[in-house]
Amino acid sequence: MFSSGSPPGEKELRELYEATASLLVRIAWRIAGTEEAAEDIVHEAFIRLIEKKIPFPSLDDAKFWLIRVVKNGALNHAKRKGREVRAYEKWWQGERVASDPADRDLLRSETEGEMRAFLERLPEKLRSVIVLKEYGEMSYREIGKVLGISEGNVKVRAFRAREALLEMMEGKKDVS
Amino acid sequence: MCPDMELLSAWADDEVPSPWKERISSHLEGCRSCADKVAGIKRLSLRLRASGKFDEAAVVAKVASRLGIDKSGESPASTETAAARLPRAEITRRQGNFALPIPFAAVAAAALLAVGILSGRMLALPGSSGSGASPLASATEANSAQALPASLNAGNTMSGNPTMDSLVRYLETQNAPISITIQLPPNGSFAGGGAPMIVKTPPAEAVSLPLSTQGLGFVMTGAGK
Repeated sequence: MFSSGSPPGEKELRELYEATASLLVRIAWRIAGTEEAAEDIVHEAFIRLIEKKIPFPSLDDAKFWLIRVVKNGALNHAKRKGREVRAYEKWWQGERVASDPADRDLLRSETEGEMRAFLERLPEKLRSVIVLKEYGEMSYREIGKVLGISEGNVKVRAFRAREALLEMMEGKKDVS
Repeated sequence: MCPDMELLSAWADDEVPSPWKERISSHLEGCRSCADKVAGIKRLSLRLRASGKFDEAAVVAKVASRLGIDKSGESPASTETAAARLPRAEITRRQGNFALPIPFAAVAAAALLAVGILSGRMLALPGSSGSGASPLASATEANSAQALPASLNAGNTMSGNPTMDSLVRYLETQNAPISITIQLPPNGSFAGGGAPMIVKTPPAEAVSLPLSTQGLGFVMTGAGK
């Protein structure tokens, strides 16, 4: 389908969509955090693919390109949201300075998505690998192709991400 | 000697080639410490995958719909290519993300800009009154010479040569959205030539609309009413 080296037509686009959409949506959602954001990010990725008319030599090449675009889009979204959340938190903490300590415990207990929070604290290069591994169920070779790094590097980053997450889960230390 | 954590992590991902893969498997049967580490990695995987649920199929279907892709695999009625369908896909972008309400002040600025450019061109025409003076000077004089009644209502027509000050004052008094049509004189003679020029720089205190004119361009300084 993609061997002609021409941009994907309608049939190829459908084939590509069926092969990648679930994976892309899952990755976008895991990083960006909301269904709306995931929808927009995946949609934008396909629009860019159509607009750019890139002649992909194979379905896999198109798939890796899409994963890379979605991953970057989702990380950017998460960064923006992170800044917003930090701004809200700063304001919230300021508002609550004189409040009862019990309120702070309540606030802490209200925090949802603990694992998501841990993931967000990982450096991007580690987060990308662990998200593609755990949620994309991709091999080290595939992850390496998406991120443009060697399989050995993927192996090291997967390990370091897990090590950091396990430490966070045990409450040992933060990772920056 | 025990394999390090990095190797165990790769083993858990089934990324260790033979014969090392089998050797690690054998080692794990007899080493409680390494078996615990691998169990910890697998628990982490389970926790990550179990955390948070969302309707993946629904999102996939929504994106397919926005792209105009028939997920069922049936051929769409149209035979146009995906690239040719791009404008339709673009149109279906979520409004909340892309629709930008145009503030009233922006509409007013666009209208004033058009008036300014047109009057600048008209005044620069050879043979028009004040042709010996610079367009900027002539326009400034013309603007300060007239004022519109403040009681103009929607539907009224501003004839003659309304000044920018009077336009701004008039627009300022309108609380509801209004439609502005700028009608050129039917017998006007327009010719291209020279650079468009904004002809009025009102004092800041004279205009309470969040709009300012500076030099050759309008600068929006805030939202509309």
